[in-house]
Amino acid sequence: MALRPAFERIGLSPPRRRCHLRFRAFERILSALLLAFCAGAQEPSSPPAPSAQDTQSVAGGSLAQPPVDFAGYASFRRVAPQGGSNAANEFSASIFATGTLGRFRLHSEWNLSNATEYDSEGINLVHPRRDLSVKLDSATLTYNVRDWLQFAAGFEFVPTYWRAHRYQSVTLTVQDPVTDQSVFPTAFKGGLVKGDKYLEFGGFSYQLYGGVGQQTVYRPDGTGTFLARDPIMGGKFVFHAPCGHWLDACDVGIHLARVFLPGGHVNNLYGGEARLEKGRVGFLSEFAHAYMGVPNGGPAYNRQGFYVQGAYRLARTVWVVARFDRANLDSRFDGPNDIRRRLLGLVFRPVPDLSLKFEANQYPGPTFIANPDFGSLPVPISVAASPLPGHPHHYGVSMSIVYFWHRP
Amino acid sequence: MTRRSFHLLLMSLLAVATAGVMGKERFVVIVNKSNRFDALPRAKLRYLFLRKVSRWPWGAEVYPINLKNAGDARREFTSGVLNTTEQELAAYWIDQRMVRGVLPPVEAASPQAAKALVAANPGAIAWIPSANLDDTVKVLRVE
Repeated sequence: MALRPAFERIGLSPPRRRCHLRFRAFERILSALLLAFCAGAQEPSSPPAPSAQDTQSVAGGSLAQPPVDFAGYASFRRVAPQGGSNAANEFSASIFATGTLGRFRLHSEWNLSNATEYDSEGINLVHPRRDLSVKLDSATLTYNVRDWLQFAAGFEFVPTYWRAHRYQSVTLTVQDPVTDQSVFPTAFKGGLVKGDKYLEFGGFSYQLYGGVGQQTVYRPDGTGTFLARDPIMGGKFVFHAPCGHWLDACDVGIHLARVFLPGGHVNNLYGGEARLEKGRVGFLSEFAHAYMGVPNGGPAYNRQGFYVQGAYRLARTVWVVARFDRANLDSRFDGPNDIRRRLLGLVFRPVPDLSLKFEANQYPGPTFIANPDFGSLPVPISVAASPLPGHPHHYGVSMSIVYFWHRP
Repeated sequence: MTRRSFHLLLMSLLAVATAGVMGKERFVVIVNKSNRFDALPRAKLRYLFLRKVSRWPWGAEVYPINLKNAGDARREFTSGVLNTTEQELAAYWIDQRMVRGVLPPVEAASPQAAKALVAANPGAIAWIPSANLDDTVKVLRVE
């Protein structure tokens, strides 16, 4: 196609004669370039013949997934307080087995740990020893009617954000927040109705659950702890706010639950969560409050706490994270029950499956008290007392190595 | 019009054409020919490929398909549609496997394999480089 006729049709003067030939050549080159670009933009090239590898990979054209998928992680955590005399090491490994059949999905987690765990996770499969526990952490059978309507039954975590995402391969910190497992019960056996609905912008998720909850609590006589099992029912609603181009994620949730104690007493719990992400920056926060009824006639009291965690991706594989925790686990008493902790950490993830974490902690307290309410590891991760007058803050370090794997 | 102004006009046309091609995405989203959608917004495509939505409105199961070793096109798809990076996407699937028991999409070894899977499965959705498009599948316009 020559541009010249079109040129004349729209009333423009033709180029001067003396450069006519050179101009024609230039015109043709440009025309050819334009045509080439237009053709490239509009016409797909003819498909090349499939290779032998392609033929093998699409044999049968089936997208069926394997009947059972196995994944897991192995982690090592070391937590060393100031002075180092109470350093704690934990080796832990979990296996996740997931099977899908039509609309049914069975998802379970099996955990092995050498730490003396005071946490309320799971069902012990063998009698726990001080240096070994083997547990079924969760097992849930879900039937998917619609994405927004799913029925599930089994043994499941109470759906606080940290409980649901507490895995060392996922978290940016070595230590769990103090409020984790301290206010809301850890897990329950029972049923739940849940679902998600995503619109073009935003959406929501919900969970309604009921069953028998479990949580580690003190014995009334102060002789240690036991695993309390009481009926529980609750619900959680998370709003995925439409945030357009301002944020990559903006989730805000509210969680209500009630635990039914012997004698008609109840624990009323509520909590909230917020998760924001924008580019390299992430923010996560949760709070939880519990009004604790006391079955033996003692005065009721409150438990409450929160954490605020911020993270920044320094480079493609490096994050820096900071968190502030505060919890008061018994409003009747001051001092040791009012816990504050500050944490600054660095996460190096050279490949997605491998995480290396280092943390420095500042925690109040001259002594460590083995308190099961304070988290999943023994001393001193979450075991600290408020600073007594004249006692400065203490410092500690933590590190962990986590490797995630999956088959097939 | 002088020669100089004509050159300017042609250069402008060339620049516009070039920009059109450079701005055009290197991938197209494809679905089975029976799929009832002609276009979907990026946000909804993101939900499909991140497996936050498991069924099409008419009940067919969604089978997202990713493309292995697709270089720049894959990076462009991951950032342009999924709004994330390869590293963060891998971490997302680790989280999903553990928390929900949801597996990442099947990875096709080549655009030809992706097209064959889409052509054979009514609920399948995939992306391929634009250059590999043919009429065995339906193109879903990205809005």
